[in-house]
Amino acid sequence: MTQALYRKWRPQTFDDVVGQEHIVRTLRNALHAGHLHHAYLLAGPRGTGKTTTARLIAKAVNCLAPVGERPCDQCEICQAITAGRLMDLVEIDAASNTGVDNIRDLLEKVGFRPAQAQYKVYVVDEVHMLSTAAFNALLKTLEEPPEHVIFVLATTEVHKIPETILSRCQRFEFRRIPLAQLVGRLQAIAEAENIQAEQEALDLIARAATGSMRDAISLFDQMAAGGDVTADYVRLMLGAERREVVQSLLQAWLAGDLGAGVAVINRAVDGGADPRQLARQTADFLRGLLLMRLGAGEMWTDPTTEERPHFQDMARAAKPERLVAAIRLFSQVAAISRTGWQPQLPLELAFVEATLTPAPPAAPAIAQPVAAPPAAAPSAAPAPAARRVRSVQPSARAHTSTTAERAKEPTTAVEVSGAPASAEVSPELLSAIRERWRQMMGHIQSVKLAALSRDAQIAGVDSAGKLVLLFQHSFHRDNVNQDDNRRMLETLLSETFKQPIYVRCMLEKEWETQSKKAAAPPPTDAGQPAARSRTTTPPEPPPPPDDELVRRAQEELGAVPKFSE
Amino acid sequence: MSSNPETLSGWPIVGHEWAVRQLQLAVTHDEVPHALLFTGPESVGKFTLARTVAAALLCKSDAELPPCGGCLSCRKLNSGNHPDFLFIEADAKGGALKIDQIRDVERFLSLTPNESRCKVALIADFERATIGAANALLKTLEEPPGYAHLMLLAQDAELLLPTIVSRSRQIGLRPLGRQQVEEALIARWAVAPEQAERLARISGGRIGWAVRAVTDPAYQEQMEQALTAMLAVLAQDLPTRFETAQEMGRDDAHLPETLEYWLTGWRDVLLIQTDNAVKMTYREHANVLEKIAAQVDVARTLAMIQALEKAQQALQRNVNTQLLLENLLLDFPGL
Repeated sequence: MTQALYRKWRPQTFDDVVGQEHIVRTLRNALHAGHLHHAYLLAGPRGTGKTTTARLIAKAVNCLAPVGERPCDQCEICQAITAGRLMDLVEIDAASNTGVDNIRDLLEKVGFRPAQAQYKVYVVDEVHMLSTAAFNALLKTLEEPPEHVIFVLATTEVHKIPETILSRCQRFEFRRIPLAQLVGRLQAIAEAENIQAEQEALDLIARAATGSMRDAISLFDQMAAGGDVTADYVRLMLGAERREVVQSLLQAWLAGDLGAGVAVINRAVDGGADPRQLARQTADFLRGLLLMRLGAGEMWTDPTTEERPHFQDMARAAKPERLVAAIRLFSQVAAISRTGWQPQLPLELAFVEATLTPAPPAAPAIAQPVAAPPAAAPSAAPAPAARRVRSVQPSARAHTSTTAERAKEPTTAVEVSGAPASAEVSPELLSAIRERWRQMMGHIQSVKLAALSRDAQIAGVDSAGKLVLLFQHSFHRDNVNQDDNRRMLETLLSETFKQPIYVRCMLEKEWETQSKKAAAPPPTDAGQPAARSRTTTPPEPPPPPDDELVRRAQEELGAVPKFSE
Repeated sequence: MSSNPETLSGWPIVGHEWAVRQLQLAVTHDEVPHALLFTGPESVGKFTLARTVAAALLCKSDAELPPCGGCLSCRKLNSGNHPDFLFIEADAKGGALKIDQIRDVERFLSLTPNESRCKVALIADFERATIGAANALLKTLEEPPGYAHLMLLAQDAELLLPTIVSRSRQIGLRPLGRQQVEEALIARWAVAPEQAERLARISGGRIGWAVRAVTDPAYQEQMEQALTAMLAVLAQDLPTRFETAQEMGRDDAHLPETLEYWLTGWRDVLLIQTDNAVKMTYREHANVLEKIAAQVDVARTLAMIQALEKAQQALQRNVNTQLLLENLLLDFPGL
């Protein structure tokens, strides 16, 4: 049974170690000067050389050759370590032996002098998995081990190591190995193993490895098992798509062509593309476009000189906000794994959403009405507006649209332009309050209050200049009218709109019996899409209650009918 | 597992030719990696392929391409009592793969083989391994004894610790093409062409589902019921929807599948709305789905699909099913 390439090609001397020059240099210097630490911590991403270096340290401190040549990989000690049979090199898998008893066993034997070599080296791999008790048991010995003992701890998750351990070790941070060095090593291996490999293929493999040498070699191993390593084969295996596919997808996005985009996705996936990989590539491409759009196009190194002008045109056709929103959507697809029946569905959804939504609304200045910003692409109005027949609006959950969710994001500081300084509630302020109502509910400390007030209607202003909130049921009104609750609302309103606002809670019935003053919603209201904050009922009489269901829903569930245009 | 392959193409696997070729070459050249990771959606063939490789490794005959299916080893494997083969899977539905199970694997692999020349441990559902369990496997996965082979099955490599994936040879299986499934159903399971076309289309490339649907009519019935229910809900008024939610909530064993069927249905609506109707799954219901597509707008369809996905996620987190359904059904448009 042959070994996996990454095992066969594990570096056996410092010279062969790739990508961690800073570490190798330090270790070599320490060796020369005879300044060995008794405890090392090797930390870094997977496949970057930690276990390899740990073993090399063991070799170097015990090697029989003169100091300048260590480790020689020829002497008895070095050979024994390479073969994995040196008794004085104790490798412990901390992930399987996580308990304090395991550590205690180990520590019992620490005092015994080495059998063959000069130093006894304990390599504790995956050390982050030790239990807290195990860590603590290790502390004393780690601080002052016997003079013939060296500890080498290795981990991918240094943040899980207690400070007390960290402070007792000399720490080496392994970094992700740069692309060029990965490719170089792969080339060397390909030559030595007599495997034909295209340069572009190696490049693709190295990219997919994201800085891990073991990943790169493993991937290469896998590709090589299928014969010659060609770029096409690698792309097929990685599910990577040619850039042209990503381009046509984004052309469709720019043109607002839903049909074309969904077709591109389906074609690619049928042809073997991996949807998430495609999403990742799309997000990368969009990022490149964004860089170009922001004037930092040189940072996008992928395109060739011939391609650049074309991509520039694409970049110019898209607004930065739209690019950002699209990047987010596609990145999410790449990040989340969907194990359902339709693996391409998340990608399709991301595309449709990216195409439908215009740029996300910036925090609206108070005085301005909410208008769907005209986007370059012909897009449908935000989802709530486009909702058709909905005979009942059951609950606040109705707003599953993205705009509602985005409206909940903490916006930048509230702009108060043109809000009157007096305590009067102007019509503009009123409409602003209506728009932001839902969003404000998200900021109320008390969940209960938020739930009670969320569906309150903002009727207008009463004669005393107070903001009037209408409720369907006395239960809601009474609760919100309680002093602390009401005050909480008033504080929130006042702080948000930078002027004192007082609140009066009434039942809808009561309000209607009063004369409708400026309570008629200001004109800007009617033209807006079904509001961000809530679906305001236009000032029309409710439908005749001859529809049994509607009447029941209104009475029993507090539903508010909404009419479509 | 069927037996007696006579030729190089003789493994009983539908599709995944590149993987089969790669592994067959490895088997015949005695170069099977010590750690194999099979990834792909459920029922796409991971287990069948892994088991075949295991059988090939353990087979005692001199067949040109093992497994032979006839020798003592192959027969013991078939009947599930081969001493050099260990199969581990997560407990029950939704359960996790625990560290003790991994320790069992390590113990199993630490002993030399009884009968065959190697030992094979096959661990399914690895994405459900606890963090402790996954970490515990790392060292063994990296440098197991020379006679040991580990095979892991998982839905998606990205769900696993990168340190696990890094140590394994990944065989990423993707859903099969419709035609492949169709042809296989006709050739191997003697399914009528029309039925085969339909099942192949609905299976979404999951040969396992298609085969199960052939052998177990309840599967298809369930799907039809789910679709009928969905169409019914659209026409239902509010109180009736609450009743439906209650009914469905009682039968929550089938809920995950139901949600998948609904998701597929709504995706069909989206495809219709984006002029991609040719890619529809439930072609038999094209009329109704087209009607829905005409009455709802794209943004609404999008919202509906998102709501279904959220419901699926919530289901995995053990939410109260009735509440979940009520919420979901309320989101359905009223047509």
